[in-house]
Amino acid sequence: MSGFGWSFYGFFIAAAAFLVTFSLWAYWMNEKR
Amino acid sequence: MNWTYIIVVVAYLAAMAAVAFRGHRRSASEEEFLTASRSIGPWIGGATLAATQISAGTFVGTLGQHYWTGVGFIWAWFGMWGGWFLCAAFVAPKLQESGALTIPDYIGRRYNSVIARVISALLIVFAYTILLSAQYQAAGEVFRATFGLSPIFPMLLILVSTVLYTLVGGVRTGSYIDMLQTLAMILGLAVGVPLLIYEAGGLQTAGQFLAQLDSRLVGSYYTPGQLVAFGLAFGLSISTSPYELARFYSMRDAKTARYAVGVSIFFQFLIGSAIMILGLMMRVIFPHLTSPDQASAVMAFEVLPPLAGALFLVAIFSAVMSTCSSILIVAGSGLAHDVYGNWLAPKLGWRHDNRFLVLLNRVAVVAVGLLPLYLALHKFEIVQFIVLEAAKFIASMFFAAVVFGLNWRGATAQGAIGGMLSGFLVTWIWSKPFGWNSSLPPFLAQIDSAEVGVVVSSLVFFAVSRMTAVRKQYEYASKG
Repeated sequence: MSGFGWSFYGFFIAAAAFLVTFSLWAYWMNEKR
Repeated sequence: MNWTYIIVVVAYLAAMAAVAFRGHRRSASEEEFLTASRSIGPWIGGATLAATQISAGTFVGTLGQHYWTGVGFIWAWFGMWGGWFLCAAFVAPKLQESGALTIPDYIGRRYNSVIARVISALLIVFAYTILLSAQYQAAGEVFRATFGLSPIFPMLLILVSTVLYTLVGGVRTGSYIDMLQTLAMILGLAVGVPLLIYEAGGLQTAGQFLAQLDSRLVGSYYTPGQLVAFGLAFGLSISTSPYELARFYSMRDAKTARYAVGVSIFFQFLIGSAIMILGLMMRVIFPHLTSPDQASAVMAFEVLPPLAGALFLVAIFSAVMSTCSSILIVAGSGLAHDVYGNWLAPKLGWRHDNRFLVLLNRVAVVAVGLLPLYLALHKFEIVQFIVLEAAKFIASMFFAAVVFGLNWRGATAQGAIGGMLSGFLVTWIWSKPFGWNSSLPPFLAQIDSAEVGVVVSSLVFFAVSRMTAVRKQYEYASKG
């Protein structure tokens, strides 16, 4: 039995990716004009 | 009861009072009371959005969900954040720029209709009375389960302190206190997580134990589609519900509103992942609790040492109070600003200057706060169920009128009124605790009331808007 797998560790990676993408999008929207 | 709990709770109340005192400015105008004169920045704004969303349901219900079904449920947050992204893209900036004070205010101005304004205000008061009673009830339950105290004590504690700071300082004080409460939630969780991982024998041992108990606990209990659909439905309804949306009015500008959504997602991530770890570790330490909802109370009072348990208790208080405070402002202002100030008073020639309306907003906060106490003490349904029912009503009534109204020029007042009322009616008919769900044919009854509500209200909204818009053109043409 190996314990926690992709669904545990993957969440943190995916959430970090989501936050970075959201921030870039918000920055782009806010600064484009 | 251990003295540590009392000392920590008193210290927390004192910190809140200090923040309220420092942040307090004399609210001479409704603009200051209801929108903090549009001065809130992205960090406090984001904390406010997160604190309003995170409620007793997260600390009791979501923690229990992870206890029961394991890791997989965490992925529902992505659906939720998808809802928040749509809000940041299509709703928040436009609403911030609309210059309204309340959601019915926006609806009234957007559709140039007093009737739409008053109907939306009354529907808000109805749905939020139910939601508020659920929050009181949740706080009462935690106390009853752990201290054996009558639920009236914690309910009154929350009611009195929340009503007090909301009515004294309005949205400005409420926002500063939301920041404090977000930090209190994060502190409570940050202390609890390492202690619980330690109690469970470390992350790896815990993972191996859970995998042996049931392999779905470390993999996925639900399918990815189920999780994202659930999260998105909840995310859309929460990120477009009036008590969150009203917060955008208090922000400096549209840019701040976008950044605040990002900050709020960051706080939700911290809180959500901590809640998951606590739920999982509780399953390792107590694998066989009779109800998953017990996990958080058992953790606070049997697993954690008193100081950490007390901090967790304060975190739950924070979650409940911040949600209640936002609801009080939104429902109270619906009555004072919209029903009285913009309809009754001008119609009947009663007093409605700014000073008087600020006073009336304060009175309305007290009235709206007291109303649900009766419901909460009579315990009609379990907490999570009531929260869901209220969310379904809100989504069905306001989604079309607000979201499509912001993004579609062809929307008319009649369309908005039709959409709101049909959303309310259909959700009522479909509702299990209130309506006639059991008399519907099975293939209809099994569809969720929010899905039916949002679809029907959107259809009515579009159809009536098209019809009335066409008629207007016709009238115009025939006059010309």
